[in-house]
Amino acid sequence: MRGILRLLAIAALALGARAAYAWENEGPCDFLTGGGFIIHLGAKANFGVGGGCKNGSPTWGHLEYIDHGTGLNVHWTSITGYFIFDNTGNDPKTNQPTGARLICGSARTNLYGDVDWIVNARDRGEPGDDDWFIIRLKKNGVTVYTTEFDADHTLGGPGPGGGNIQLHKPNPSTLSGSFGGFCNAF
Amino acid sequence: MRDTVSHGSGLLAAAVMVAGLLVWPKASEAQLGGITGPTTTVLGDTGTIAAGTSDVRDASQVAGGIGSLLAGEALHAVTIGYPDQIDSEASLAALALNLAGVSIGADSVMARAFSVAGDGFGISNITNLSINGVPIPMTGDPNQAVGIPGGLLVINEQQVAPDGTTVVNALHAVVSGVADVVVASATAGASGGSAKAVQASY
Repeated sequence: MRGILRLLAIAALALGARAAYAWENEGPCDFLTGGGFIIHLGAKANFGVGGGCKNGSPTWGHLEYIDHGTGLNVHWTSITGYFIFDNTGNDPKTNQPTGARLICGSARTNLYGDVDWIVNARDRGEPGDDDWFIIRLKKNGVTVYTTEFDADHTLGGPGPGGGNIQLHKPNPSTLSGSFGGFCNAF
Repeated sequence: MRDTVSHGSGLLAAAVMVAGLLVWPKASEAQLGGITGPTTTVLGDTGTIAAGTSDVRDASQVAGGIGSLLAGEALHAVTIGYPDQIDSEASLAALALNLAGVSIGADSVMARAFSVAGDGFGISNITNLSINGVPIPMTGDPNQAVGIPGGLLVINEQQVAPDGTTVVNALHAVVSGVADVVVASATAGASGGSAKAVQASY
């Protein structure tokens, strides 16, 4: 199981680069939010994340991240892109969509200075045990930190993490925009 | 990991409906006999979106605290308004709450409130809750009360106002004469949408 998860995780970020260009005009844009922790190299790594569109632009959101193993702190400074990774249906308990999204931006860190980042976050519906969170940081185009090779990215149940990822439906009103933007951390 | 997910339907939450519960800190006073201290501090506050308004608001910080009372990481709050729906969510990780010598900890704490065409419900996710280092079993039911010295801790507190607005407080701790602390609060309904990572009166 862990091997499968690892392969899926690697594929998730690798495929994200293609997704960015192939799907950048698809819409209407939705929202993804979440918080909790994963285990990275044996230590807790806590996160809070949001992504989506506001006023027609896929640049709404935030990222906060602390890795207690390395001492890394990440505080977002901009959101530059929001992309569909996949859509997997609808959660009957919340009547919200399920699937994965890629959120990109820039951030200030205590270990690497200013970086670009990408997060792959998945909502598998309630209770959220199989939701996942994966992060990569790049500095000047070079990966300086990533959790994509961890054995397990899930947020609870038999897995090592906790918390929840929630995908929210698009807003058909003035908030709507299209997925897209750019991602220097691809 | 010990992760408790609690759902509360509008009907279930209505069973614990108390008039006037929407107004903090009166809500906590009514249910818990808490105090209103001279100081109220809020961390990770979205503000309020009026019902029916299309908007999205968020607040976040990498870490936050209130003196020796509380510390947390990855504070996060979001409220999303639609013409007929509101989704609100708040969370933090690495909670360390110290109330008059009582230590309440959790690896992650989250509250979510949803209001769809007037029908509201709430969910709390809490991982590895402990009091003074002792793990606390969670039932998953709304409004699970646990006694603490001098006060009370309510887990997955869910309230429904007379107008149908749902308020979910993942953790609500009160020690009389010391502090009234809500960790991860989400509101959705006719009164609007809002989310706060922490609100403490002390």
